[in-house]
Amino acid sequence: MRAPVALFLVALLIRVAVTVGWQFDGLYGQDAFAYYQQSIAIVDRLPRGELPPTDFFWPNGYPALAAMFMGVFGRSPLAAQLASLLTGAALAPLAYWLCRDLFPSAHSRAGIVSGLIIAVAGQPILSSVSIMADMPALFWATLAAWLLVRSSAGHLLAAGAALALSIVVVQRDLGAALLFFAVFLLLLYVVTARASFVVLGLLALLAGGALLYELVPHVRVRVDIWLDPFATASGSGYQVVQALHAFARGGILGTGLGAGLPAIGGAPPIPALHTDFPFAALGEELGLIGIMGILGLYLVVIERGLRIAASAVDDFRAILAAGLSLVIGVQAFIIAAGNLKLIPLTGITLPFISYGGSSLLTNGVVVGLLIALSDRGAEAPRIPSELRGFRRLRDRGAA
Amino acid sequence: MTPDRPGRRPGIGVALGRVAVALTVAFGGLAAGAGYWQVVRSGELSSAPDDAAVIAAGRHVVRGEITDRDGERLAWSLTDANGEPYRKYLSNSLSGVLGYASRAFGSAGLERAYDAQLTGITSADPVQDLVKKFRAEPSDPQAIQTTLVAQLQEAAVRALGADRGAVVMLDPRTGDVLVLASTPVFDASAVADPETSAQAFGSLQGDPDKPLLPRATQGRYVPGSVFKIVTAIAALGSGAVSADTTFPEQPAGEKNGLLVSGYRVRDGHHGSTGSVALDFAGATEASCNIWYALAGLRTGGDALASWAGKLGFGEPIPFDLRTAASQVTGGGGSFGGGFTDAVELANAAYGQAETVVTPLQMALVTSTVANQGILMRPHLVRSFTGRAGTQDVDPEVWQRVLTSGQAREIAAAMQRAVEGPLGRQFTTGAQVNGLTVAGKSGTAELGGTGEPNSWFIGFAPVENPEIVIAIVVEQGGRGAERAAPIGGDLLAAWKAWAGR
Repeated sequence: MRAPVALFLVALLIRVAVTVGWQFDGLYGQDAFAYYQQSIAIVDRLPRGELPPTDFFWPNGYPALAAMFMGVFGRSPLAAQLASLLTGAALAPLAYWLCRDLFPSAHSRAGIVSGLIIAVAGQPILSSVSIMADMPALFWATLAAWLLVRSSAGHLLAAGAALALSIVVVQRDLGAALLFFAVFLLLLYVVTARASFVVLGLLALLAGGALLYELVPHVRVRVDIWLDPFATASGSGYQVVQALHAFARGGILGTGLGAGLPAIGGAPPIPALHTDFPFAALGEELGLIGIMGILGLYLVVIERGLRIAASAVDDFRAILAAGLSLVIGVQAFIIAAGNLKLIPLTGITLPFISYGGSSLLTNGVVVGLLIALSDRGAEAPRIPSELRGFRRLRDRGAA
Repeated sequence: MTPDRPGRRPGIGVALGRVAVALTVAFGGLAAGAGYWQVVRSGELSSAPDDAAVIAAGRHVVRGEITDRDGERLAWSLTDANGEPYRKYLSNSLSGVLGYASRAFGSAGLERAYDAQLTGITSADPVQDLVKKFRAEPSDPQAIQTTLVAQLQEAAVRALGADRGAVVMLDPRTGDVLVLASTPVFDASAVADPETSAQAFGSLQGDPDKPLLPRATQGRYVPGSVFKIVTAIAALGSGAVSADTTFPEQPAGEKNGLLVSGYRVRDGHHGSTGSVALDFAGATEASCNIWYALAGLRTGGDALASWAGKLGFGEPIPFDLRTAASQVTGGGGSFGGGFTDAVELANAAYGQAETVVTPLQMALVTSTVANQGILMRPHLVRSFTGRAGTQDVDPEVWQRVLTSGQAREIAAAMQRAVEGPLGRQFTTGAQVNGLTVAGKSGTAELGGTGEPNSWFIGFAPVENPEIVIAIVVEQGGRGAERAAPIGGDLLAAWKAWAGR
């Protein structure tokens, strides 16, 4: 039996054992329960020709998948859990393939170990794949790099389908959709060096945006807030207006660290400050000068990442490095531009800065991967001259 | 392309470089966006009354004092049992202009407009604002000296008595607002005092007379005949009509009304003017609706609307306080200037139809005539005083509307409306001993059977105007009955104050 199939089966076995052993039905936490109920609602309504409830906040991709399993195995938590068992286990061979390309010399060991880790930890990863932008962005950049390197007509088609699918999955999360799309377009340009793809992509983006504006009330609200947040300053535009006020209070030099965000009745003026508006908070406390500094730091990270891409030993690594740096850069741009009312606000995190476990974890993984990709393996590591100096000093002091 | 090939495809480095350039440009766009909000719009947004820092500071900072133009204290701060500051006001008569600043219920009026300055979040000097964060005590509460005259404000409120209404008095040469009164008044000190604020504010909100509405700046009233001065400015200013213009249809229409597209414009002065074709001054003295309807039709909807726009109609007036917009028409019509048809234009020309004005707007119209056609920007603050010294607010020309000759012609007509034998009947009580007064009364029909709104606008002395007044008394009856005598009383009070 080939390794990926074996890995898939082993991962599935581990996950089933974990589920049965701990009587774990997947309905932990409020979000998972909301997912479960949405799946049930889909199963109940679709046969009657009705649409699923629209007041569900999260993306419908996972509930739709779970609903499919419920259609076959009946309406139970276990059927929903089965969906995540299979898709989670499928991540294991994917991890194997990825590691085989990344670490060709040690592919079997590294691939199997990471595949097994992902098999065990797959549940949280899967739920964040369907909710947060960060994890799928990482995943998407990798997948895109992989498909583009082996670019044949079929692979490009698969890439397009995957892109469309991921946008459907993150239908509620405009920021994530925008992020995937932009990163994919840029990678496509890097691989093909054809600007016409970018132009076509931008036209598709505009057309898709216009269509979403017409069809999805949630999108229309976001765009209307963007056009004139001050019209609804005490209603739907409240956070955006408060963020602009925060920038304005900061001015050129800022109010100083810890001296911003005047609390009214004990609450900061921007409720989603720590997730969606850290850039506004930095703008207030550090001022325009601080903002320039932070933007400069992002550019340094991007520039280093692209440099790693340009000097990578093979195409896959090059494109993966480019994709990872672009995920950081484009994500920072989308949320910062949203904070500054340059584009409609979308709720994605500011890399390395926003509060949030999965976001910081993902950014750490991205940096780790970039460092791994920058190691060309040809040269032996050498001790920097400064360190040698320190060692001499220490030795002399001891003597 | 094959994986694991050691060499680089030649294009990829170039493409990566271009992507890097594109991202750098995009981040430059972010920096420009940040610059826009943090430099260009910074002052405006960070001192706005709804800014979080301004609101937060309003709760614990000892606000600067507010004084009138003679230095009398109008608003100052006391300290409650917990050592937290609260506001105290000289007199209830100021409620319509100063508003209130309350820890529990926020702020209104001048207290709201200059929240940031009074609490010292921003000063009038941008350099001070930039370096203030390096000081031990960053806030620098500013004291505000207003252009108001407390005793005239008091007299205006007393003159309005139990009626609902508003009085605006301003200096046409500088735009200094001396009186901005609105009745009924309320006890702003009770709203600000933490002991009584909940009860006081609750009963004010439920009051059917709406004492919290600052009528002088936000009350929107049908103007009636005082609007004829706007029509006169448009008609003479655009050259459609001169001071000698007469309309042959006018005397003929006096008896049974002038027919405009099936609607009859009526007048009530036929007995006194008979078959005489009135000229501009005569029509103004007699308050002739038909002459003004014909003048309005000849001027045209577009010109009337655009000349009214020069006087401030159509948009909220840029002023220290929030203002409501005045309008010559509800708009949206196709007849020109937004009018629906000739009937609406003819009726608007003498201040009925969809025409709605604020008392402040009518004071500005009068001010334009009084100041030789030049409209000064109205303002309420003379100076801000903080640690860094005193920053004066200078008078500012807002619009040049008429030539001085045109303004003089309208002024002469308004003088006849007060002193002429026929005009006197409409403006009884507006004359003041030892002062030449020009003016115009208005009786704004509201439809239905209720009493009309009583209006008077005027200025004095005619030779060299120093004071403009605009008065509206809600449902006060004819202009001559209620508003004109108040005008006379207040101009006399001004004369005493100015020592003339």
